[in-house]
Amino acid sequence: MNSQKKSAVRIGIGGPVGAGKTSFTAAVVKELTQRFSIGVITNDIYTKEDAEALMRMQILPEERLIGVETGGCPHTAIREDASINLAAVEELQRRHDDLDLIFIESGGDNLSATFSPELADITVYMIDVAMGSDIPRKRGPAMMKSDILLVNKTDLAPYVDVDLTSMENDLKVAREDRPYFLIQAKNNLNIEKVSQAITDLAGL
Amino acid sequence: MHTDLKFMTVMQWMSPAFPIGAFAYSHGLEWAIDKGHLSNGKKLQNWIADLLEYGSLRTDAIFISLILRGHDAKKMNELSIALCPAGERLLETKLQGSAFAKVIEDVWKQDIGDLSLPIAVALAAKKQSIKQNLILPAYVHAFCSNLISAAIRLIPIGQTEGQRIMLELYPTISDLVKTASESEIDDLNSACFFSDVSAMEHEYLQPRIFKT
Repeated sequence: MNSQKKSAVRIGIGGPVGAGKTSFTAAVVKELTQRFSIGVITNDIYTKEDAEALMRMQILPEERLIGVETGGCPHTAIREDASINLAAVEELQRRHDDLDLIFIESGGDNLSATFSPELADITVYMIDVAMGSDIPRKRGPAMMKSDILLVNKTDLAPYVDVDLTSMENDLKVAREDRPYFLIQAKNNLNIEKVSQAITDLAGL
Repeated sequence: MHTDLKFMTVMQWMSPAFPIGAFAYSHGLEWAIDKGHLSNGKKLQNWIADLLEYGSLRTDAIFISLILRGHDAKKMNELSIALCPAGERLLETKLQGSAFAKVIEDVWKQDIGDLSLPIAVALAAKKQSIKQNLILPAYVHAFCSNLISAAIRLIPIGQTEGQRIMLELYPTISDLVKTASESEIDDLNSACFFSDVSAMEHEYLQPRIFKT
């Protein structure tokens, strides 16, 4: 990376397909975009749909978004060979030398996927209640070690037989002292708190 | 027993674990497979054999050999960029070339600059005094192996058949190594139009899982 330029803090957002990573990215970018210069990289497996969704929601202009195809290997692209994502980071910083934050949304992961520390400075992992209350008990590196854990779609709990209180107890055990938040990305619930946690960790 | 450290260096550089993002590039295969042009292992094998005999792999191999025989890297890089037949071919070779150069710079502490993939590999080999007979077959082998791996993700063929195809390509690879090591700049040419067109068509393919 060019040493004269400011280095943006990179936030990796991981989580299973359908957990709500794009909705969360949209909500958090909307929350922070007035105060910070932001770029987004998406790793959708199939299309540039995520990037286009963010554009359509008019949350970020096109030149602040890059969609990366991962050849069907979304875990490899954020973990053992992040070069295609690192090239996207470099490209965003070339376009905007004032970037404070770059969000890197993964292409959908299992519970053991983690971001390479060369790619992400801060890692956020996201699950949703509809995946079942047993997810926190399965642990896995992403669940245990991510800097921030999010449980999305809490409004769905009554419809999928999930007891939020007992799920939260399991989360407390899995996370030890690391932060977690129960959120509803679509309804903007607790997005402000998560955004604050991210900027605190980023030292902004 | 003597251990050849140069051999280990080549193994490391050409391993799928070497982080240049090779897994994300299909070299146009994704379009050809999507349109039904490559529906089985035999067709895949012929396709790759054509690339070795008449196409991009032959060109890459000649460039590597030319660099190792003393041709100027900057000039050869310009020529290799100019000979890319499609926008995504250019993207593929430039992005992998820069990623390769970055690791060489960070780990081997050698600055080789921003080059296309074959030129970057050849220049790094030259700086490490690695001979053609090691790097040429290794580069071509790794390239074929990566194409097979991409195809396995797209065509319903299995991993074992993939290995069989790789083995059956050995004689063609071996012929190419010989040809490349005896070729001059004027021998650079390519006639794999369908593969080139596939790379062009891929730009508009939706949905897609590969960058190229």
